[in-house]
Amino acid sequence: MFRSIRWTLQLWHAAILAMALVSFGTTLYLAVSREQRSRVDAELEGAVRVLANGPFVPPFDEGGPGGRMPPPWERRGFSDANSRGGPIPEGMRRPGGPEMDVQRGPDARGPGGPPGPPPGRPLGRFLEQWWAQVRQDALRRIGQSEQDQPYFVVWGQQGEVLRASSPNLDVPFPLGMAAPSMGPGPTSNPQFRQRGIMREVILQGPFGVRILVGKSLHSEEATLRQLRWRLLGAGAAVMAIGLCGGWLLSRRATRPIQRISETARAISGSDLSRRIPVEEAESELGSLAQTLNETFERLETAFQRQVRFTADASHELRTPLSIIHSHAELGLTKERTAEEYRQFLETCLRAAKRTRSLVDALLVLARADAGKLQLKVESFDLRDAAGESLAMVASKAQERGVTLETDLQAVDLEADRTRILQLLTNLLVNAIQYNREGGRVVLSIAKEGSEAVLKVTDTGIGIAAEDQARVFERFFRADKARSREAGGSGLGLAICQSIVEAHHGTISFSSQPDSGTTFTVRLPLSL
Amino acid sequence: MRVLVIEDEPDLLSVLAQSLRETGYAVDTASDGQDGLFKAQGGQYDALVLDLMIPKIDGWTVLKELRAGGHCVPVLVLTARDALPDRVRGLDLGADDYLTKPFELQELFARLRAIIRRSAGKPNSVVEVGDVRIDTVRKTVSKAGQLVSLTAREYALVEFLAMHRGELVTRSMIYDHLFDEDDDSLSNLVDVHVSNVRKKLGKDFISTRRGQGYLLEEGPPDSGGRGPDV
Repeated sequence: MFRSIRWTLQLWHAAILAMALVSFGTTLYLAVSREQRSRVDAELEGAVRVLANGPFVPPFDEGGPGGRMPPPWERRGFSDANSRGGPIPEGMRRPGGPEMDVQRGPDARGPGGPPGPPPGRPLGRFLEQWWAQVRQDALRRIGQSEQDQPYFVVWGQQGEVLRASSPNLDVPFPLGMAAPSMGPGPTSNPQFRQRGIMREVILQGPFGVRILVGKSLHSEEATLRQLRWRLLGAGAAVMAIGLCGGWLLSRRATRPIQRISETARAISGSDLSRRIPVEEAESELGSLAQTLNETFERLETAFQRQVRFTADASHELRTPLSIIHSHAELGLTKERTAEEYRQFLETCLRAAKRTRSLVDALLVLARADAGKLQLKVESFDLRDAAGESLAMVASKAQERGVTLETDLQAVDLEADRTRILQLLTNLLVNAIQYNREGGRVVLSIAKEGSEAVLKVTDTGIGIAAEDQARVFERFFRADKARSREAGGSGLGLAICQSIVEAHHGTISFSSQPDSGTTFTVRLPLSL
Repeated sequence: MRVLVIEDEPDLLSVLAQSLRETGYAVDTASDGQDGLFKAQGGQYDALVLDLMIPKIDGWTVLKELRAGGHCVPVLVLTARDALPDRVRGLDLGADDYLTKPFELQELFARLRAIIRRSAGKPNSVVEVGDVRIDTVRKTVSKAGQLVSLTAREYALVEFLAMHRGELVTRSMIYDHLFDEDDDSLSNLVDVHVSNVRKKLGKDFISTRRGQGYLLEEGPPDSGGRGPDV
């Protein structure tokens, strides 16, 4: 059952549909997640760049390494930050927030700590305000949902935390980054890293600081999870609909096949005259049905021909058989004279000979039909063979008052001599039998190119136009009015055709009713 | 009984004719449909043996023409074609029976006898006239339980008269049915046979209608056309 076309179709259909759905879903999912990732990354990068402009690295002492570094506010005006940072005044009015600059106090003053802006000084105040502003600006870029707290850390040159968004942050220092540059500006492209559910960006800021901004991807993950479920659901629905549709479709497609096979089964059984109904002649199945019908037509014709042939053959065999049977039966009814017995036996012998020649002819035809007409090919002169067969039919010609004429050239032929003799004799006998009293038969042999051309012309009754197509048919006798003593079995020309075809030659005829017939045989000189 | 055999196989025709003659039939032959039809239309035959595959006019046409001409002579069709359509066609065209080649001569004779009896309206193979009993199968005649030895011609005469019992049978009818076309016997031979039969079966067995012919009187109602044991 699973080997049926319908199931195969269905399985392929399911496989292709599933593949299409999976690749579509995967592509969509990947595109969405990538888009989300790059949006998050863009947010983080925006935030980190804002932070990079923050006032957390104030090497205000002019004696610091690398000479005097202008503080950021000298390099980039406050208004610059302002214009990029959106509604700053609002942010300025809300300093603080959930984050606290815990690191600022003791660390700023601690030994080895980075020289932060000294608190309390007017400049310090300003810087604090500014920092708060930057913080706000940076965090706003990331988007502040309550659960996905964005965070940041700023490390100094030695890896000490300069600033962080909250004091309890446990963010590992980004090892393996390029050595910090001491230049005044951001010195590298931001680097992204994934830490668990956290997405973080690290930027080497000015003066060798490292700034990290990170946020959790919880909400993005949730969105993606939802998307996954939706894709699965939609995919399953589409799959189900597709399979149902495919099942119906394959049923529709295979129903005509079923009908065809049912009809074909019935035909192969007994009744060859049935045909497959051709409804959609244009479709592939319609043309298949038509092709099958044509095949059945040919089969039926061949079968009928075979049946007729068998019936004809049995008819031809039954007549001599009944002669033998009746004579034997009659001979046994009572004591008879020796003369009578001799007569009966002669008749029986005649009938037996006729049966034998008929059986021989049928055998030749059967072998030719099976393609097993074995030829004993030898090289000989066709003219000699012609002379031989002329001698064989001479008495018959004399009996019927027919003159035999010849026009023979020497032609060396490679063929089965016995069969060629049979061919010649059959044609000559035919020409004599269907001739009129005092008529002529002309046998001519010539060489044309690589062919031997053999012609037998008679001056007989000719072949009626309606019979011409059936001349080579088995058991066909052109003149049905002719009694059986004149006509042969009706197999002669059929045998001629088989012999010629076995030699890869052609046989044809032209006939004028009442004035005669010419049979022309063309045989290749060598096989 | 006179039979026409139409068959184109000369050997088969000769054996049929000879065997039928030896059985006591007068036999005419024809080797093609044209000749056969001509003879059948003109002759007084008790039966026809007809091959279907014959030249000039085929057997079916012979049958059709014959029946169309009002001839109801029983016809036994003889052919090598035994396909159902062939058989049906022959019977539908008016054949009385059908025999496929090759056949047993005995069967041919039996079928021939049967169709002759049927056409004469005497379906029984034994005819009783008074105390004379005619067995058409064994071709014997007995009187009062004693077998009477008859020549073939005499038997044929008795059988013919028995088949036409109660009917007036003219001398020429007897002649036509007892002698085939090759027979040059004089017609007064009929009278000789009649008188011989009378000698053997009793003077009253055959009545004479002077100037018209002979008659086998209708016997008592219980014996005519009934079985021998009744």
